[in-house]
Order: sequence, then structure tokens, then C-alpha cells
Amino acid sequence: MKHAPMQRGWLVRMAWRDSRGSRTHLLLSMAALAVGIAALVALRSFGERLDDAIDQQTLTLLGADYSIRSLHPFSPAVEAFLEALPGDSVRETRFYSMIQFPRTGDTRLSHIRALDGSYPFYGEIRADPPEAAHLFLSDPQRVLIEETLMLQFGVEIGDPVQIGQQTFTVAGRLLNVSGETPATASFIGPRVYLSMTALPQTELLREGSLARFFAHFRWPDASARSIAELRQQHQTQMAELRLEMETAEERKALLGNALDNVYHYLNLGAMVALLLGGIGCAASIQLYARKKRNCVAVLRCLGTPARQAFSIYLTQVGVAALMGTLIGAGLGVALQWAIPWILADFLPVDIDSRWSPAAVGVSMLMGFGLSMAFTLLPLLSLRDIPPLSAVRDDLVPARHAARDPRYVVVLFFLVAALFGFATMHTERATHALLVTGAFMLVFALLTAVARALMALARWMLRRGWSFAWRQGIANIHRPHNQTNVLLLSLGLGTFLLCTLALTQQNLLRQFTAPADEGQPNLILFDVQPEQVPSVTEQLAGKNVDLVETTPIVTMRLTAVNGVRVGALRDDPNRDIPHWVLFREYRTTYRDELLDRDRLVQGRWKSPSSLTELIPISIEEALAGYLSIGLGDRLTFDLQGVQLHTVVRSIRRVDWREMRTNFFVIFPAGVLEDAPQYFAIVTRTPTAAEAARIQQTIIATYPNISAFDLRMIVESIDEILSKAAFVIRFMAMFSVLTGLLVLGSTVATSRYDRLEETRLMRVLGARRAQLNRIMSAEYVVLGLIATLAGLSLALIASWSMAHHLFQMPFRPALAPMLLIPAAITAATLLVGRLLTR
Amino acid sequence: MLKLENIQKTFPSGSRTITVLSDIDLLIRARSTVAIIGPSGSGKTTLLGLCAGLDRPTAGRVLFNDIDLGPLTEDQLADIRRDQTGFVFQTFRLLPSLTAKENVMIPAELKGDPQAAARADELLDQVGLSERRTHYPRQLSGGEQQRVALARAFINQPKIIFADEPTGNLDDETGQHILDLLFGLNRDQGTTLMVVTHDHALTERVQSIVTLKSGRIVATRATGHR
Ligand SMILES: Nc1ncnc2c1ncn2[C@@H]1O[C@H](COP(=O)(O)OP(=O)(O)O)[C@@H](O)[C@H]1O
Ligand SMILES: [Mg+2]
Repeated sequence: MKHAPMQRGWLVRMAWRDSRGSRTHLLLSMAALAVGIAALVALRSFGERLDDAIDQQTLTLLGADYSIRSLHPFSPAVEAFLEALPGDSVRETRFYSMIQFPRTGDTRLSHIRALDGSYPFYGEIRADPPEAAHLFLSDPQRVLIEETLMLQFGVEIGDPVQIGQQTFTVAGRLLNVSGETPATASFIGPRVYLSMTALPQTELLREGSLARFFAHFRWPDASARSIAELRQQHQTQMAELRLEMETAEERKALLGNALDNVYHYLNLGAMVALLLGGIGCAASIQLYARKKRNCVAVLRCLGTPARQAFSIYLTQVGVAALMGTLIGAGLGVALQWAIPWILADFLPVDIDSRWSPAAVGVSMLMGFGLSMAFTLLPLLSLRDIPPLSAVRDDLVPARHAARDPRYVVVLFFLVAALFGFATMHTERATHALLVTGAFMLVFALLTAVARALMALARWMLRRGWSFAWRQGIANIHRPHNQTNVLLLSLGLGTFLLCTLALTQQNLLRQFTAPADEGQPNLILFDVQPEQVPSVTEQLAGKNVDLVETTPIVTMRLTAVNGVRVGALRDDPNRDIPHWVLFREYRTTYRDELLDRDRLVQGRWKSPSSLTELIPISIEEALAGYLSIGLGDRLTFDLQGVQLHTVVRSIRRVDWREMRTNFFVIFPAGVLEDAPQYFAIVTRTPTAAEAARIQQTIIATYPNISAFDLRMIVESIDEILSKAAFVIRFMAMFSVLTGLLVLGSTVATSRYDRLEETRLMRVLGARRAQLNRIMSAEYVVLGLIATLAGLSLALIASWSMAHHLFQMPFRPALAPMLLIPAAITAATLLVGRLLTR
Repeated sequence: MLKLENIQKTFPSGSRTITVLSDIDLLIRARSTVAIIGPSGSGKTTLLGLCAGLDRPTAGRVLFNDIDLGPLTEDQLADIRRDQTGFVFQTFRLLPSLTAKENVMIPAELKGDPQAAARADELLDQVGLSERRTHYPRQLSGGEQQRVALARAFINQPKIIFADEPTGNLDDETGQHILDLLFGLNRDQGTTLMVVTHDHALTERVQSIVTLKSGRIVATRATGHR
């Protein structure tokens, strides 16, 4: 070009001059996008800091350099083995038991941890008062108890607490343990720390009790290599001794995976906000481009080349996008302080308050690129304005925008960006495709609804409606309408919120339903054989239905069809899950199968002679894992006695049922003399009754544990609501973006609307009538958008229930009514506030 | 200056094509003033657009200073418009976000003229609006806006001015004032003028009048004005 440098200066000057009176419009257009960019910046920056924190605090995740664990008390052979391992060690025993507060009689199943030394080696036990974290080690009469449990029952420091046969004093409140999260208590139950020396007095651990035994090692000279060598060196011996080893690095990898999932999930949320913001931005810029068509035509007429005239507006929008990106980045940096707080319950590491410039830079680049792509969609139409339209108002653009190759290129870029983003945040390409496809489908459906609504509005106008409704509905399809944008943003927001709420409610109902339907709701575990008659007697005196009393015998699998489990594990041709081979099998024995035992193959058989193989019944999924069927032989080890069995039947078990369910069932006549305990399944009418029964039984027999379904439902609810809070936080982003989009489109189309309004007033419309027109428009838009979102949510939660959770779907009414109503109300409010 | 040879212009309209202009031959000499009159819809604006290179004929040639506009690219046409033509519209067409002076400066700035600001001041002075330089179009009356538009049209000392019903949106008195300015500037700068009009007061000032009817030239008449 001849005057290139001069022209560029002119371009910028012209862009600046021409933006007068539109600068707010331009910035507002970017507001919604800025929110999306903020979410992205915050998450990426947070993600980097999280990675750093996990790297730096790796050792605190396990609290040790490595840990050895077993399902059995350490035998002399194990002790000898442990002695030879490098580093100092601390022993820990973990198991579940009821604890009772004698002052009130309250009982609760708790996670008991007995230590013989100060552990964790890295990180700490946080307690109130702080010194209580170690008091229980020096004074075996004292225990440290989960704070939430103390709050729940109003227990104070110094109060007595009974654990098994021993009464202790509460030394302090347990706040958290390094490497665990505040949400841990919701997952595994309240934690109780006591001294190993006090453990025998509780008389809780007997032969066959379910417990885990740990030796934690501090080995300051450890390196990744030396630990790997250690594992290599002792692998066979540990397998023989049935020991498991875990290292800090392994714990980190495990945790990293879990947190990565949360992180990726949140990023998808940010993507939704970004897309919504982009759509809002595109809609707003479309209004802007429409307003500027005349200017471009005149400039063209005065001799401005097409590219240059277009560049003026590209410059304006580019600067606005840049400012939006900067504002979004600023917001994002501020917001990232909030994320650790939001996720606090799920974070096992401390996150410092630095922010990551690289992450912020990358997300700003992504945000800016996306915002430019979104604004180019409507802006490109300015390139096609013929100069002739300056003399002729009614001229239509020569080409339809969608057929413009540049338009197609931008659209392609957007879809590619979406796919790229999805690829970064899902595990597999197929998932990314699925996410991208799902998004495009939802977008397409909502756009179709918008189209249909506009057509419907046009059609309805011909009917006799009141003036306000007619005008309001006319606004839905008139030029400069917000129908598309609002349907997309509000519809998507509703979709996310409703899917979440419906799924959560459905999951919860699954657990609460049995309690309402006469199903068992209280199970007493660990009942010793000699305690069964008197416990049964006690229960009979109360308002309790005894459902069943089941003996439980614990054994281990040693061989399948004569092949030892160790060999099976090492066999590269087989892929049997570790737990299937090495778990403790809790089995039972029966004369006959119960009604609810559903046989899918074979027949129930009793042993005919003592010399033949014992006929057993196994669960369907277990048969699948072991790839065995009828006639295959399993060998179990019961306290050193080998039980040779043969599979005679296969059952299907509904594990969601609140019963004692078994992988393996023996026939009567084999296990009667083995060490065993009983589970008593009952149904109690009220929560209070259930609590009273637990109190009296535990007071007499502290070794008995009670699983109270109501309690379980409570903790599931707790976990779900904590997770839901995180999800809701992201969904709120999308709704917020939607409302911002609404705000900015209302504000930017205000001038067009103002003229209309003025005209209406001239024609005699009253203020109240005008308000009613606005209300009609926003109520209809809000309702349709939210209904569309709700319908999609119903489909999504139905398919999730069926395919992911495999449970029946019954939608909860409350969220279906409340969420659409709230979003519609918010729409109305924002619309009305801005059009005043 | 401007020569039209056997121009035809049609538009596709659905499945049919409508012929807006046909058999147009016209010669406009340098420094002459020509009015184009005719009933509404007869094709006057279309003809003006073809002459100014805003649009291309379906058949025939438009020669601007002996240059055939047909093979030129859009950008070359834009250069010609910028350097050699000026435009006056019925609806003024000022950019609403720019001040009067900034509006006037556009063509000069487009050209990279370092004197743009000075020339704009000078022209605004000539149309009697030096006091209103910093005002925005919406702060000006219709007549004032059209005066700014005149200043803008003349700033690059164009060879030819195209005006499409320049007084169409103004009352008689204001219209007269605009015509005084238009013809005054035209005379001072020795510009060619092609103006579409319904205004009888205007036809009395031009040298020749071309009458269009249904897309054909039905009469070309010299008025005898100098
Ligand atoms: N781009 C176009 N597409 C279709 N028809 C057009 C187009 N431009 C002009 N016309 C038609 O050509 C005829 C002449 O229009 P115009 O030149 O504006 O007449 P005038 O300026 O004399 O009123 C009109 O009937 C108009 O509808
Ligand atoms: Mg016309």
C-alpha cells in the first residue's frame, strides 16, 4: 500500500473517534466473556499451584517414606522381616468400632487408629489444643476425637468416652491429619486416635476381626531409586508374608489422578462459561455491527478500501476484547484465591497464595483467541457491505454470511478449539469427541428451540391477545431480539443445574428409599456367637423387627483350579483385579438359599459326604473376574485349614440392598465350628429407636458394631453436597454469564428499544403498559429457556442413572420447579432493571 | 470527463430479472453541471451509482476520464472515489460518532494529506460552520449537516461531485442556501457536477438536464446557463 504507515495511524485514530458513544457497549459485550476468561485463568493458575503443592508435599501425603500393611496382626516372621527394613518405624492398627459417650449415651461407629509412636513423620496431626495431638501417646488414658463428632454430640474436652471395654478421657479435638482432607471423616467415618498400649484393654481385636496393621517407615536416605530397589528386593518375601507396600510417590500418583479428575471437570465448567460468554459476546457484537453498517457504507463510498473499513471495527473490537481479557485475567487472579477455599474439603495439601504467570498468560491467550473468533462471526459481515448501500438503504448484503468462506473458517476454528480444549481435559479422544458432540447437540437443540419459539411468536401474534402480551411476544421475533442468546445461555445454565440436582436427588433417594419401604435399616456386626441369644432377647423386648441373623466366617482364597493366587497374579495372560485374589472373603453358610438369593446358574447343593469337594455358591461378578463357572474348583484358607470347594451355583446379588451380601456361600455342615461372628439385620421404625438400641447394646457389648442406614445416608448426603457445591459453583458461572449476556444485550439494544418505546408512548402507551410488555417478553423467554434446559437435563440425568449408576430414575419435583422458576425470576429482574 | 456507452442494468428478482436501465448513452464534459430528473423509480440513483463506480453495469462501459471502470478492482475504484469524486447524499450520511471537522477530514486523511486539518477548517469556514467544528451531527440541524457534507465532498478537490437529491430532506429556504454553497464551491473549484433532483430551483441553475423514464433517457436538454 502506498501510504501504509500513515494509514495505520489513521486507522487507529478513526477507530478511536468512531468508538465514541459505543465504548460502553463494546466493553459490555466483553463482560460475559471476561467471566469465562476469569474462570479459565483462575483454574489454570490454581491447577499449576496444586501440582506444585503436591510435588513439594509428596511426603506428607503418606506421612512416611513408605508403609507396609497387612490384614493380619504381624506374626513373628513379619516382625523379623520388618526389623530388617531400613529406617525408623511406627506401628499403627486401624479398625472400625463403636464408641460411646457415657455422659449422654450417644454411640457412633468410628475409625479407630492406635499408634505406638509419633506419626505422621512428615506433616502433622492438627488438634485443638495443639498439644493434644501427642498427648494420647504419652498418656494412654487419653484419646483424640474428630471435632465434628464432638460437635454432633456436644462432647467436651475431659469428657469420658468408652471404646470397647475401656473408658478413656477426651484429650482434644482432631482437626485434620496431613495427607487427609477435612472431607475424610465423611468418607471413612469420624477418626479416633489412641495409644497402642491402650489397645489390649479395649478387648476389641480378636481373632478374625477386620483390621489393618501398618508399619510406617521414615528413611531419610530414601530416594525414588532406593525405594524401588527395596520393593524389588523384597517383593517375593512380602507376597509370601501377605504384606502390601505403599510409597509416598505411589500415594502421590493415586491422589494426583483423583485431583486431576476434579481439575479437568472444573475446566470443562470453565469451558461452558467461556462458550456462553462467547455466544453472548457474538450476539452483542452483532448488534454493534448492525449499528455500524451505515458508517461502513459511507466510508466505502468516500473511497475507503473494504479491508481498511473493516479494520477500523476489527481494531475497536480487538481492543475491547483485549480489555475484556485483561479484566477477566484480573478477576481470575482474584478468584483463584477462592478456589482453594471452595475445594478446601477435598484438598490434602496446603496451597500457597502465589499465582502462576505462565498459566495466566496461556489462558489469556486462549481467552483472547476465542473472543476474537466469536466476535469475528458477526463482524465479518461488515466486509461485505457494498458502497452502494450508502445511497440505497434497502440494499441486502450480496452474500449470505454462512456461505462466506471466511465465516466457515472461523466456525471451523471454534469447533476445533472446543475439541482441542475437550481433548486437554478428558482422558480419551472418544471422550473429547463425546463432550464436543454433546455440546454441539445441546447448542443445536437450544438454537432449534429458539427458532421454533420465534416462529411460534409470529404465529401467535395473529390471535387475539392483550396489547402488552402481543407486543412482548412480538419482541421475541422482531429484529434485534435476544431470543437466541438467552435461550442458549439460560437454557444451558438450567440444564447444568438441573442435571446436577436431579442426579444428586436420585442417588440419595436410592439410599433413603429402603428406609421408607420397610427394608432393614440397622445391622449389628461383630456379634460373638455366645452373645447372639442375649442380643436377640434384648432386641425382642424392643420395637424392632429381626430380619435375619447371619454367621460370618472370614477366609482367604489360595488357589483357583489348583493354581495358586500368587501365580495367577503374575500370569501376564490374566488380568484379575488384585482385591479379588487377596481380599478377606467374608462368607456365610446356610441350609437353603433365601428367597432373595437369585440363582442364575446351577443348583444349590448340600454336601453329601465329607470326603468330596464342598459345593459352594458364588456371586456372578466374582465368577466373571476369575473367569470361572460351574464345576471350577476354589481353595480357601481358613486359619491354616485348606477348604477345597467346587462351584455348584452362581447367584446375582443386588449390592445396594441393605443386607449382608456375600460373594461366597457355603452349605451348612462345614463351617459351624470355625471362628465366626454374627450379623443381625433389623428394622427399626424411627431414628430415635435405632439410637436407643445401639446405646443399650453397645453399653453391654462394646465389641458389637452397628451400621445405621440413616447414618450412612447422612454421610453420603454430606459427601454429595460437598461435591455438589463445587459443581454448583461452576454451574453458577454459566448462569452468571447468562445473566451478564442478558444484561449486555439489553443494555446494547436499548437504543433501538428506546426509540420503539418513545414511539409507543407517542401512540399513547402508558408506563405500566410498557413495563408489562417487557415483563411478557422476559417471562416467556425465561420460561421457554429454562423449560428447554430442564427437558435436556431430564434426558441427561435419565441416561446417567441408567448407564452410569444403573439405577431407576425418578425425578425429584423440587429442583424441577425451583431452578427454572428462580432463573426466570432472575431474568425478569435483570431485564426490568436495565430497561427502566 | 464521464462517458456512458450503451449501459444496461438489470437485477435478478426471484426467477425473473428486472431491467432498471437500458440503452443509456451519456457524455458529461469536464466542468459541466448536469441534472438528472425523472419520476421516482425511474433509475436515477442507479445511474448515479454506476457513474460513481459504486456499482457495475450489466452491459456497456463507463469511462471516467477515459479510463474504463469495468476491469478495475474494488480497491482501484475506491482510490478513484477518494481522489477524484465527492458525494452528497439526500440523508447527509455523516458518521454520528465523529465531530463535524472529523467528518470533513475523512477523505483527506484517507489520502494521507498532511494538510487535512487545515483544509477542513478552511472548508468549514467557507460553508459558514467554523464555530461548529467540534459539534457532533446530532447537535446540528439538517441544513448544517448537509453543509458539513458539502465540505466533506469538496475537501479533496475532486474532479466531479455526485449529489443524490441534496435538498430532498430540507425545507425550501435551507435548500436554497445549500444550493448556493454547492454551486459556489463548484464554480470556485471548477468541479464537474452531476446531481439527481426533483427540485425545480436546482434545474434552473444547471447547464443540461437529462430526463429518465422507466430506465431510458427520454430527453437531454441544454438550459443555456453558463
Ligand atoms: N439492488 C436492487 N435490487 C433490485 N431492484 C433494485 C435494486 N436497486 C434498484 N432497484 C430497482 O430499480 C428501480 C430504480 O431504482 P432507483 O434507481 O432508486 O430509482 P430513483 O432513484 O429514480 O427513484 C426501482 O424500481 C428499484 O426498486
Ligand atoms: Mg433515488
